[in-house]
Amino acid sequence: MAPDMSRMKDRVWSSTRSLGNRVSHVGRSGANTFRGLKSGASSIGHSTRGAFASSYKAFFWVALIIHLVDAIWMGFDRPTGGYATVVAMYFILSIWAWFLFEHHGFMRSVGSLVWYVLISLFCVFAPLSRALFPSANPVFLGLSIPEMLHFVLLIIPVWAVYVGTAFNYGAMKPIRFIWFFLIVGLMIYAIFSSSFLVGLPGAEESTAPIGKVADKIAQGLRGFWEGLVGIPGQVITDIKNKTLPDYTAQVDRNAQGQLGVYIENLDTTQKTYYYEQPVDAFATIIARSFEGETAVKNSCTLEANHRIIKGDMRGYERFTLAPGEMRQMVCSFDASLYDENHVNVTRDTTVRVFFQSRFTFETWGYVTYSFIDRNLSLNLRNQKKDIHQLYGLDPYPEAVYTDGPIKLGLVDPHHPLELPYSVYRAQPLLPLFGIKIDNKDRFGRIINITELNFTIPAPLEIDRDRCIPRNTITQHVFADDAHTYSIEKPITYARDQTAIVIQCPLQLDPGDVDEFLGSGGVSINTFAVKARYDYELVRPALPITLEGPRI
Amino acid sequence: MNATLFFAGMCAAILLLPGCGGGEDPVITSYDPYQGSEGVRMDILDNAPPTEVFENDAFNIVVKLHNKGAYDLIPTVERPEELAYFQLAYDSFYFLPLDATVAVPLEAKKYENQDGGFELVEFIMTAKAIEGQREAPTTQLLFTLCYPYHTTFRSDVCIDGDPFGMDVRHKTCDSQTQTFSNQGAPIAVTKVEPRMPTRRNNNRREVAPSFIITLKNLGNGNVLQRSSSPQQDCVGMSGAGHGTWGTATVTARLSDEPLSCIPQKISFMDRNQATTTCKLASQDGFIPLEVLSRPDVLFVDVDYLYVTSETKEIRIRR
Repeated sequence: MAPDMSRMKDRVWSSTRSLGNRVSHVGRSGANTFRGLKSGASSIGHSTRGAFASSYKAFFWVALIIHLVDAIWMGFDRPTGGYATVVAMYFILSIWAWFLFEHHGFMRSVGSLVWYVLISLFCVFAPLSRALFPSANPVFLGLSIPEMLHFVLLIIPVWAVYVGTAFNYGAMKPIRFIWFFLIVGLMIYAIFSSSFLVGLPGAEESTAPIGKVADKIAQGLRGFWEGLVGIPGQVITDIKNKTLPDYTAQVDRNAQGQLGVYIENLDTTQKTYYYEQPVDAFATIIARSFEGETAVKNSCTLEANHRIIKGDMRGYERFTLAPGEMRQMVCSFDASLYDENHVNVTRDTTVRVFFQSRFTFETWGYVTYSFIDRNLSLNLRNQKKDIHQLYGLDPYPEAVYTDGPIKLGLVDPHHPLELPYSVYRAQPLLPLFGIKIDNKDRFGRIINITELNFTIPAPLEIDRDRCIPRNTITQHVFADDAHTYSIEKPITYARDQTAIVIQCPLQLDPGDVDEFLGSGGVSINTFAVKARYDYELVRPALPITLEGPRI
Repeated sequence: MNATLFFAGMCAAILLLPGCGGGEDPVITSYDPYQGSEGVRMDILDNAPPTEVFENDAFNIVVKLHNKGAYDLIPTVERPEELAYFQLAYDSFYFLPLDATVAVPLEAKKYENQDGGFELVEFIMTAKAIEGQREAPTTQLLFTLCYPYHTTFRSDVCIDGDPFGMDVRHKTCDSQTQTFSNQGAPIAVTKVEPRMPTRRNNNRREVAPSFIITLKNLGNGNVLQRSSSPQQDCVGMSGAGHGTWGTATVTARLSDEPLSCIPQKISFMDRNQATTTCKLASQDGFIPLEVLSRPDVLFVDVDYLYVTSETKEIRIRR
């Protein structure tokens, strides 16, 4: 299954010899195995120049770039995202490798082609291994197996490593050097940007003086390590979120209080609990919605010594809140909290109680665009007339979203559309309609979007086939003078994912322009987006101290 | 006899005396409707629409359309679509569908009706239920009025065979630049500059009168070129291409002699102002002049559609 590396080495050897370079040793073992390649390659210790070396270097860099795109841009997303693109890229690498390494004896190296395809298949399917393990249970320094696998996959670009280790030429040394610094740089970035650790369970310290120092050191080391291994999630999340197209909006301020679900007034009955004294915490939950009742599913946890202990909600696990209703929740931890099967309190320990609520909520976003006949616009501009003043129109779209745990952006803040948007009657070219659904609460997360509707005023439409990501917006209904587009399946957010962006081109049939612009040549249209989603809200209470046994 | 004469004289005095004293002399007044710079004025009545409405509620919109100009918007056999076309544009996200286009006839101001004709246009509009979680969105209603209009200009001009005053003989009149303010329409002729090139033909004095006519859009609306169907132009505006916005058609004559204006379709693209040059259409434009100068009358007619818009913001409450 391995390639015939002897031919490859022969080729390099002959090329370098022809250039008059000194060849210290050439492995001519003829081993037709990957092992043979490794041993043979490692024995090539000369500087490589010429066309072949350039080709290998090019292959190395392309393989590395493909890996970084797959890892950082796509987040090893399988099988959704750019899955087809990933498969295509690795397939092309396989074919290129076959041509590059095996251009002698074309037909005789079918086995090596299979080997190259297997490497690519590994690149494609290895990330799926993350799904085999539960992501919620940390097993080592607060990291789950999928997170560790993700880290390993990130720092080992399989094709680049294969080529780099197979050809131990002088030219590879600077590449390895750069690679080393790239990895170190990513780690440093992750450490300095690991502010997400603050306030999370497990980041507390003990109260005993010696224990404090020890905990400080341990916490520092843990933070350092978590910073190191947190590279995948942190870097990828940062880069992905920063590279997503940006859409913003203002929160719609309501006179009757802000909408959303809030956990407030979190507290415990005491600040210090004596050994084996049950812990009671309470909080208030409020829901404000114009869309009726909100069902909430609540839980509470206490985390210490890397253990998460679930509390007893005492009947407050599930209930429904009427609009504006406020309810108190109580959470209890009995004396078993202190034993070795739970927190294992052997000395004074500071812990924090967390309340979690899962609920389904709706957020609406609205943006109003104005459109104008292009010739009317030209005419007015030539007359030096202020179109905005004349028609009372805003110069830029103002988007608002209703309050809640998410942000629903509808306007590109970097390139806002100038209004009124000029429409050419013969060939109406319309702007892109884009939205960004972003998590707003630092301690909460969007689990999935179960319903997403775009309301587009007729006769405007969106081109569903050209929406990005593709096949997201698939459903369509026409009613009440508007087109409503929606998703067929829920959109699930990855654990480290904070935002999604959907962009769809608007379109207008030239035959409908008259109806659209009306006799005045100006029209005002509101676009609405409704997102219904499952959300998990987490709120920590003030820290409390669990005293250790005094006797 | 004397008594009879006295009696007859007294009777005559009784009958005639009332006719001698106290009666007002009838004053024959004149009225010139060709004054003012307005065409049809659009006034949205206070609280119709109100500034705030409730969802699912109906409310009134009342607009007063008033012809303050000198051109009748009344259909005739030649011009059956001579009406003012009013349209209400609204955001369909917030309001129920409504047939919001109305055509109304409006009489021009004239001696018998010096304030001009007016009509009240009324709509009953219904706000939809607010979709989603928004509490009190605001939206705009856009009122558009489009009407065919006509500017009629008439002025005395002088056909001057000696524009530079070389002849010592007395001239009846002198040609000179004249300025004007308005003619009872939003488009007005504001300046007429005469040009009088002369020549001698068989010892006869000939002159080729031409006039540089400046027109101005004095209203706050927009000019749109008129076609054979104002209704189609106003309501559909499907024919409104690049050349139609800001364009009006000018025709002129000197008494009964038609003038050829170049350009005939004038554009108000430049600072709301347009200029055209009109000269006699016949032959090479020269006419024989028996005297040194003579007065004449210049007629200018401008045909166009005029479009004005207004907006009003409304808040919808739950």
